[in-house]
Amino acid sequence: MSKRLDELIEEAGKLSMVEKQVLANHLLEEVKQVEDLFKQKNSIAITTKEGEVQRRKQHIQWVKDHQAEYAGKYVALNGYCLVAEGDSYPEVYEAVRKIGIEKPFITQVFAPDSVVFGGW
Amino acid sequence: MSYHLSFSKTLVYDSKKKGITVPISLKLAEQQIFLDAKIDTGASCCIFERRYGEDLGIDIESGIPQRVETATGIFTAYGHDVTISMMDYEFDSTVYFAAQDTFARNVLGRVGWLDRVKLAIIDYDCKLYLSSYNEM
Repeated sequence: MSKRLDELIEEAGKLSMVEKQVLANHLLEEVKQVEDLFKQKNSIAITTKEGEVQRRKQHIQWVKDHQAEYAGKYVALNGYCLVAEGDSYPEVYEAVRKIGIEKPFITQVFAPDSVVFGGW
Repeated sequence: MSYHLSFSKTLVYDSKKKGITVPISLKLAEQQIFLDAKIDTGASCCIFERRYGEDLGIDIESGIPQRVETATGIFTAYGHDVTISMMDYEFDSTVYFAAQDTFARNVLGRVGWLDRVKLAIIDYDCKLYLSSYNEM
């Protein structure tokens, strides 16, 4: 991914100043939209019970939608937004704690069609 | 070489019950149910009877479908985001509710519970020691 990014930056370097300005504005607008979406999803009132249930449903929906992509990974979610990912609970918990989320939803994603052991 | 661990809480469990049985609660919004669950370090996840999910107002089949294997066969369960509470420790976790209402076990397994606590068991004394991973 970083190689791809390097290539894009190199390509962007060949643009004219006007084109660079257009590209910069476009990217900034896209980032702003993602941030707004994140704020909007976060603003679902956890203080209301309906909001809490809705947020929990979004967590489950996110896992269902991304099972193959994140199989085996631990993920931290806030509504339908991925906040952090990693190979273990402590790794993800630390990442989330640094962001300042007090009570994160963290889970390990099982691969679709996997069979887990249910105990004896 | 010796190793030392410290824990915040301890619980004496009932040796007359099958397995290591502990009191927990499951919570969703305003609904909270209290039940006994068995700690099972071999279980991949936390699995509960269907009726408990329904008591919490959950549409069981809307969850994450998951096939679960036991020594006696394979069954389907559905994952939901629920708060597991035990000895003042609360975690928002994915817990699985069995699709079949004949499944009559309640298990605290790895994902959702064991992966976020520090646990020691001295079965000789029927004593369990517990801390949240996050507080140490």
